[in-house]
Amino acid sequence: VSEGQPSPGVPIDDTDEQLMAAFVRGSAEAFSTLFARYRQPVYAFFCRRMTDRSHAEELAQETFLAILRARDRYEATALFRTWLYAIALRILRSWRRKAAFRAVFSGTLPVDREPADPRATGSDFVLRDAVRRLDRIDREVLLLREFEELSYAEIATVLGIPVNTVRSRLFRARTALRELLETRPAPSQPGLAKLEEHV
Amino acid sequence: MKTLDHPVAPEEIMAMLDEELSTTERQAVLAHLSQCAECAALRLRFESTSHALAEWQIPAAPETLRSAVEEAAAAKSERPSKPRRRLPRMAWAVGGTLGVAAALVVLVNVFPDRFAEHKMAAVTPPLQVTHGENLATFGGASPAAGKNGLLHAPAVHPEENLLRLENQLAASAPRDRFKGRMAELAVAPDPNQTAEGYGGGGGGGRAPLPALAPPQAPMIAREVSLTILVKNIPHARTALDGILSSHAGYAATLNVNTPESGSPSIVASLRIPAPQLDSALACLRTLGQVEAEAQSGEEVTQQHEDLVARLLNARETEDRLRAILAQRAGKMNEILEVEEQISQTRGEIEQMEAEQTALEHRVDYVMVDLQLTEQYEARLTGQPTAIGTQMRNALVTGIRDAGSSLLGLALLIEEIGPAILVWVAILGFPAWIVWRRYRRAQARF
Repeated sequence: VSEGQPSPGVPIDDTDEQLMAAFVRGSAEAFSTLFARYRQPVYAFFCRRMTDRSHAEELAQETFLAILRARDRYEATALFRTWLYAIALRILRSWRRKAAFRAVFSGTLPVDREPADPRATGSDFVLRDAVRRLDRIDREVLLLREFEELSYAEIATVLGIPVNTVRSRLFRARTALRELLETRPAPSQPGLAKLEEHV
Repeated sequence: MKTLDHPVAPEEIMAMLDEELSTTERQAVLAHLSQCAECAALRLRFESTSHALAEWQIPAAPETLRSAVEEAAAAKSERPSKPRRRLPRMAWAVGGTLGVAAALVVLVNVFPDRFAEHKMAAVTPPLQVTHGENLATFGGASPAAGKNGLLHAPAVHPEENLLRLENQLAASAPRDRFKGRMAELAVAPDPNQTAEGYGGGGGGGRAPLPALAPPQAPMIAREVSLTILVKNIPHARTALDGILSSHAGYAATLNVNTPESGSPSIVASLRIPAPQLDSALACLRTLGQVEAEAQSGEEVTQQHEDLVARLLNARETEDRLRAILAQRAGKMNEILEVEEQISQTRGEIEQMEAEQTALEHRVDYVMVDLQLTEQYEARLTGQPTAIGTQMRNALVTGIRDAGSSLLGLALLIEEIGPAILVWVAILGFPAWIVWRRYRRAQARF
């Protein structure tokens, strides 16, 4: 598995579904190519939804392991990325449930802000904070559309809601996000500097 | 921005930017945007929001992610996946086992009698009876003897089978045992003779031992239970009376039941002289189809011997007391005391004599519990009820049942409601706290 480099013997222009079919037939190179394509998107998927990067890495790893395990059950009835993000979302929800359950009895609730990261910019913080304030489903629809670039129909499949609901929730999320971003100080403003000191 | 003022909805502008519209719809939206400044501004705001989100940068995935997945993939490729047939095969095995178990459970529950019968047959082998032998151990009956001479025990308790075996052994060699027992008891056949002997001996020594009583066969108190399905109860009743009179038997109890819906029946407890039992049972079996038959016997020889011995002792005591009284050698108080003793002993003797009579009667007369049931035949009774009446009756019954159900529900709520309220009051608040914390934690993750 090499970052961004297709494996030898696997055509670079193969679609995800063709690669997955080859992987089901036993081609390890096909899985390597899929991993190279989706390693960063899956990692980013979790990073945008949780504050702890180590947890994001752990869940990304778990997602690919789930694909390895579920290879024999894969049926090419939907796009590979729809299937992939559905698995990732399921793993994320499961982790959230367990973490919330543990937090109830351990009394350690997660912090609202992400830990200090020297690579994080001010706009990252503002965006994360604004997105966090959205309604849960609205936020998921928005993230799947903006970052995972799923179509409305794919989002509906992944979340199990009607396409019209996806459309209306996406509109509501974008409107709410715009208002949140307009009311918050810009990264270059003094208010943001104080927030950055916090993180 | 109101939809009524614009032919294009804001969501359609957003969908156009997301390339979710058809070509025709897209052209319509673009045409409107070229004319409407408000909608064009909305489009710019959507685009600026997307551009702002695009600034959210995520660092590159760490190398550890790649190594972990590589290891797992290598392990997966080394270990070929199992064929999918295994799961169905295992499912078949588990399902088959469960199915067989369920079938066994159903069989045991649906046919408990047959199961018990087979189980009993496996535990107790059939008793071998010589053909023509009149089952001396049972006092002459061999009711279940088949043509092949095998006596099958239908649904009989194991203890009864043991009793039969015991009786067979007793029939083969009962006399020696009985002799020894009689010698121990030193039985005097004639009480008067014994009294004279005691009187003649001056009351100090025992009378000379009388001759041994002749050996007796074991005494068996038998009971028979018979269930017969007959075609006509009145005819069966007449035949039953004839059987009783011809075999010198009688009915201790007899109940005739004639329910309105159901089969009439007769439940009787008969007493048949033991020697007549075989022929009487044979006649009873001709009344109809025998559905169940069971026989049991209780050996009361020992009990009878004990009773006889105690009776003899009591009579001896009475005789000695009478001899003392005849001498009139003591004071008045002593004489009165002797008379009182005689009276008490006489009472005991009479009680034991009654017991002996009852015991011997049990041996002489076999108790036969008989149940005659008529084959049920549905009959049209009177004129059929009108459909309207039946529907009305059904409606009334339904309303009554509904009321009963509601009443039962109300009573149940009244009965368990306070307890539930108490527990809700105790557990509700902590549960609400936990649930709130859970929701809050879930919202934060």
